Amino acid sequence: MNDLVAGIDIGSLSAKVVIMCGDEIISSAIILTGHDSVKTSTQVMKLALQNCGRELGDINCIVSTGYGRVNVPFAQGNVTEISCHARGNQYLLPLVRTILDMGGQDCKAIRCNEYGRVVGFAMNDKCAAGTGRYLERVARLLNVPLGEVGPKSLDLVNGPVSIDSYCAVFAGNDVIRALREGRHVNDILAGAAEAIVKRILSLIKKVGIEEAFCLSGGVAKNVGIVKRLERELRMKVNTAFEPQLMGSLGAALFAQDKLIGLKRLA
Amino acid sequence: MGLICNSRIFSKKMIVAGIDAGANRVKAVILGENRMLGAITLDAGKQSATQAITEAVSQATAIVSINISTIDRFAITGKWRSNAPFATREVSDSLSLARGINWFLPSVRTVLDIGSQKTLAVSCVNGVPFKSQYSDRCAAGNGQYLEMVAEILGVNIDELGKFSLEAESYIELQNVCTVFAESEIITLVHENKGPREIARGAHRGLAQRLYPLLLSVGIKPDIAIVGGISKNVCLVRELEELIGEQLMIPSSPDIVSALGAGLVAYENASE
Repeated sequence: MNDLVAGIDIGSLSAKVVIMCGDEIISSAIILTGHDSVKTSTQVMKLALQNCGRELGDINCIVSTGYGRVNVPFAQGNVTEISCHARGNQYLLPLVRTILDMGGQDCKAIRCNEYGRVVGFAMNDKCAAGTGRYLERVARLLNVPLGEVGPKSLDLVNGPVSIDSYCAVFAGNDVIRALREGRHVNDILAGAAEAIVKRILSLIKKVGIEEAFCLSGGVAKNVGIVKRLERELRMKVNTAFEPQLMGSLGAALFAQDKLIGLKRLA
Repeated sequence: MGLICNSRIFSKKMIVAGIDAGANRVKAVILGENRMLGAITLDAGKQSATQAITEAVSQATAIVSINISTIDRFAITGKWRSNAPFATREVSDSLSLARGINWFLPSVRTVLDIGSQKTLAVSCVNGVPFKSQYSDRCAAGNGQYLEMVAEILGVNIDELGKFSLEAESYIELQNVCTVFAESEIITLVHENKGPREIARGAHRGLAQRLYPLLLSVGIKPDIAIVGGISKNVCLVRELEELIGEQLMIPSSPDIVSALGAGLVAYENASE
């Protein structure tokens, strides 16, 4: 009989759960975090349990991760996001050795080994440029839904607009100016994509790049970023099937480890 | 205006327009007859840089009732100085600032110009700039930071300084980045923390980020602060506390660089 484990990732913007039974992911859930981490964790877990028709008591081990990991009352342990992201991505893409995880408020470059363990790490969490916030700000100013940002940024009209890559606020100013000058929305989005990739690259260079490369986090759904990164890195940019769930998947795998460890002790 | 000015400069009978084409505002000054004739600060608003520059000069000439054709020389400084639609001498920001502050306050040897997208510190003597240091990479070191604070707290930007000084204590912000600080302030407001204390903390943070800029050019009294933000009484107070010296503020802080650029055009008028 396979044990049930769960990983829960409380990020600054969204909370995610993955429930596994043996090697299989049987359920997942994503909701917005909101102001109350404890309430959010209960809600997202409930949703994931509903999706597979189980109850909290059925889960043998739960590990939490993310910004709000200490605020999960029903977790048996917590692990850093970096370790969980590396573990989750490498589990689904066993050849992965370099991961770029762009969250809502930070950006992390992770090097891992063949067991998914972290061997190198660099992070920006002080500056909104190079994080999801940058793209959100640009998309909001242009009134473009986030899902359309990627495809539009690849459909150039005249050429990418020059957008500041160092500051999300200045980028916003550049966007407004470009709009006033009558530049096409797609070209502005292209400029923002180029700027973000520039920032990402400088972070990745800090840890060094080893194939295979994987992009994680919400930004992985943005084809404009993926294509441009591939152009700059000159290698394939892999993205896991649901990049936002990698942290919670990694946490679930750590929960499995913990169970095995506990069983050995018993 | 009761100014001490170098009479050599004004021995030429010329009308000069000095322009400072900044990121958000264009300033234009008309100089002639041994004095500054008039000045204007124009919000660029929805116009392109070129349009704003033309408009500013047009309005400045209207104010002093002269025809634009009587202007003998144009000089321009600031971010968009390459965007003038007429022949003009381009002047560097630090030279314009040094010359300009010397006109208003000749004893100044260190000057800080806080714009909305750039901050410039210059050490100078008698209008000659020596060291200069820019900060234009990050909005958290410029005027836009306070514009964000004002917007989130629902306070008019012109009142923000006075509003913040009403606080006797301050709440230190954990985030430097303008974007993250914005969220932090929203959360603090949501938690019913005092808006004046939050604003005061934000001003302190900005002052702490501006101080190293001044240190890098060397702080020698008299020290002046120019740019729109110099009217913010809280920022001035926080900076004075950090530096340990009183700051001087010229009577028209917005137009200092525009005037400085105009003076440079005068000096070089034999060309």
